[in-house]
Amino acid sequence: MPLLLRKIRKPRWYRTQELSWLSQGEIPADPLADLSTTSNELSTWHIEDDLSNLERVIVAIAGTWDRIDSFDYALFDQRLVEELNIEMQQTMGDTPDAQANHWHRDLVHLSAQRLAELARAIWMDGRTDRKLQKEIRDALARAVSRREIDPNRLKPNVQSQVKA
Amino acid sequence: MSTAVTCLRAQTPYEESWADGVKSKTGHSSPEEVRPIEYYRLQGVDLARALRDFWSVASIAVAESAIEIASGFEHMLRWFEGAGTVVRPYEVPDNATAELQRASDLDRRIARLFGSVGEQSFEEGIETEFSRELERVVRAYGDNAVVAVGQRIAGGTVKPEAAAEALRWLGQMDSPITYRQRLDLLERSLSAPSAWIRDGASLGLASLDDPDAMPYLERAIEREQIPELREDLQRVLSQLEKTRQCLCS
Repeated sequence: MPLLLRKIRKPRWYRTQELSWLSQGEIPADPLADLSTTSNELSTWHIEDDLSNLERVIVAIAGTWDRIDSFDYALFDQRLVEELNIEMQQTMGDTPDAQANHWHRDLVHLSAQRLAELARAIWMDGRTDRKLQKEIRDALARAVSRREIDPNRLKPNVQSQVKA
Repeated sequence: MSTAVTCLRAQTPYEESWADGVKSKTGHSSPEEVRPIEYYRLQGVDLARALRDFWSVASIAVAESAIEIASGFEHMLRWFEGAGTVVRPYEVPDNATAELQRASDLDRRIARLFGSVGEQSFEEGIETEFSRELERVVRAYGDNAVVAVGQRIAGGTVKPEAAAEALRWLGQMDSPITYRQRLDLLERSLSAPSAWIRDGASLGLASLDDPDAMPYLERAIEREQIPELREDLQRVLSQLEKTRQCLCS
């Protein structure tokens, strides 16, 4: 089953001792900050189950930034979305990688309840990971040299960081 | 009111680096105006502990801001000596009063910087007014700005997410003259009580990519109780190890 990627900030998803106040089955509220919606839609990215397009999607998103940075993300099974009866639509992403833009998915018609259920599902069954700034820079440079990324669409700082 | 200014240079017994401080002294000060070390403690500044924790540079900067009329200079001198610190007064620069004003301006800008955060959330790779102002302040004030940021973070009055953001940007900044100070702050921040701050420090160190930070990361990994953060620290350590190997070969 394919996966979905959502960009997050990892510290919001830490399972710390300080969360001992949570009741059984509850999750903290902070992860919800990483699931902010626009028009009740949540932007995610389709990732093949063998992760073959993972780096390309990450690099495509990083290609929209002001500066190259580290990249935190959550990966979760698309099955979780289906189980929660959340509707998913393929919409074009807006990155400098035309191919990667086809992997963009919007989770639509999200109520607050469904969003909270999705957060809980990701907390319980998803996983979080990180690419460091240096990895992103190297991957961006590769993507530019392979012509996957249009360098003219990169911000000036990113262009210079990739060339460095 | 005229102000005589005395500078001191202190070397802690715990590290070999020198820390500079500027102390002003009013001309009409009397013994009654001498402020005991308790005064600084009441201001939230535990200089003894700060020195023990290698925060000597920051502690002196804290003292600078606390001493508006530093009639307690001799007392400070005695205290530093009592703490096992070598203190050597040296010549007063002509522009010392202007330097004090500059330090005060810096404090205000740093306070405004962190005060402006509010409920602002930060995204990786995206510049904000916070990151732009931080960069401007570091360019304008150099090491002193980095010290002041460290002081704010250590004071515990800054939102951890904002502190982490500052540390991440300090790691990414292109400012060779503040390099050592930024590296020191990031290394020390690996011991912060907040996981956000420890994470921000590790990301800053990953950006600096300096193998000198490896021993600090190794100690942070040993201490770290949060499994995900421990993995991330390990990831940064691995990157620095690769960098070290590249530099050696």
